[in-house]
Amino acid sequence: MKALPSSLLWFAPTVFGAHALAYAVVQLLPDPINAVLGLQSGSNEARRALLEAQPVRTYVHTLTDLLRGHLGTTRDGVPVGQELARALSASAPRLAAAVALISAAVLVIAFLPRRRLAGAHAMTAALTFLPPFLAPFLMLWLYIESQAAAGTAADRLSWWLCTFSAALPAMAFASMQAALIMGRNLELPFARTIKAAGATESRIRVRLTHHLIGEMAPTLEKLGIGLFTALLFAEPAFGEDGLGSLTLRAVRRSDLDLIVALVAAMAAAIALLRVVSAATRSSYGVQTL
Amino acid sequence: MSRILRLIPLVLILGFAPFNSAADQNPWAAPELLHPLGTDEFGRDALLTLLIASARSIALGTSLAIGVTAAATLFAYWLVFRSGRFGGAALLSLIQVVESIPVVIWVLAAFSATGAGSKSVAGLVFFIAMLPFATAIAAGEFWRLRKRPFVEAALLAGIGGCRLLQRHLVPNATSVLLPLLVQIVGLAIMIEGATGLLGFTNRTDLDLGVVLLRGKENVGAHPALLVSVLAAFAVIFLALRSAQRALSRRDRLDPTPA
Repeated sequence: MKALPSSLLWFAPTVFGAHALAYAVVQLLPDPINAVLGLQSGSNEARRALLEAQPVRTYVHTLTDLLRGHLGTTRDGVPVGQELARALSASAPRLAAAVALISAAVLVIAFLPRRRLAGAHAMTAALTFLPPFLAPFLMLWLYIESQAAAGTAADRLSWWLCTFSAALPAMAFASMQAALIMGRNLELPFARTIKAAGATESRIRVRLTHHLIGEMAPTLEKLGIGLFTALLFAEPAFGEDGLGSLTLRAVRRSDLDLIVALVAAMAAAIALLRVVSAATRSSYGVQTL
Repeated sequence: MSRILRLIPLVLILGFAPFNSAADQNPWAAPELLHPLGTDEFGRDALLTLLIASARSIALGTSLAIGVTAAATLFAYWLVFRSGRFGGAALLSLIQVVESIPVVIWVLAAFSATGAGSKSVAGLVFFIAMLPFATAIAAGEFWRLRKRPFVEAALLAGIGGCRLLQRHLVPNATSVLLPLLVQIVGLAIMIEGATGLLGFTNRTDLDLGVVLLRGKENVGAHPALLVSVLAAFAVIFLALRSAQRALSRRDRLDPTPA
């Protein structure tokens, strides 16, 4: 099957499958009424009032609402769509900057001198091994210790450190892949031949960067998942609003509608990355899955 | 390799024995001869705490990683060599759905559902959530190997599934399976710390993720704790890489007599 039509075909089943799976999992969560009402959860009147305000929805009801574009309401009574939009608008610039940092790291690796590639691979492999919450911890320490952290500059510094710590795990993974692929491709007969024909090192690297993009395309979804995972730790660590902080809040408060909507949104983003990956590979003539 | 193998009994003893670094000292005591790293906030010997926490994390992480990789290898074999058209499509669709959500979210939801202390449930959820990811990687490698002449010849000769896995697939897929195993060990170690961030773990737990979390909390006044955990992570990573490199040599796992 051709990769691009196939990935487009899988888009809806992936999103609805993840939505159904998340709905099944959140049914296992402890009674959300206890989390919302706290000490008042023992009062039958308070429980009845909450259930009237926020009735429990069946899966069919949830699915019908999703198809209508209604994602439910949070425990605070705010529409989930509104919360998601607010979090997405807070995270979007951070995600864009993180993607730029990852791309820059891959490009730097692509043009690294040959003798440095093995070292870069070893170093980035070690970074990949570290837990994704380590970078936010270290950046936060750096931020607290920083003498420059004052006034407007402090906000900007905090934003950039948060973005960098969110990007670091995915950046390390992408750089590790790039070093491995570039090191291998430099030994290909094609690369040796054009070098023997008089191509400069930078010319060879530019040519091989296309191979690199084509070969790294399937890891796009892994990078996306890595980025989301790191956001879960980076945003709460720096007290920044966004998708990561919202997800942690949803899990902590057993906010069923919010968890299901967030999972569906993440699945949609990952399915979209799969389509982008397939499109990239198709543009290089790779058609198989 | 033999040096690493010699460490296994130590990891097993420290990792599974009911040891505890006794809290009979003053909190945050300075390093001395008997306590080279001093003590932590609970008055426990910091070096012994770090050793036990590292060994437990390695034991738990390695057990989970070996389990996930072994199960993924079997699923990948079934997917590539045995599944019919619909069975393969069903498994692939399930992999795509589960893989589209970060593992940490599944584990956090499980911790939230079962409450603090349900490590076995979190481990089980981690296993289930990692399985599709590992299966997809192993299946990719097996699909590549399936087209190789020696595998085709073995299949035509009517080789059994176990024999095919043991003689041809696993030894030739180590370059993919072993780095995957190391990556899963790292993820398994971080799960404890991740759940600790939500307040689900006990700060006295002897686990590297939790010690790392405490290191972050006390970094201002006692940075040595965080630095020592980072050093422990570096040592574990180097040891796993050495083991990976030693095992990656094909002849180590090749059962064919020389």
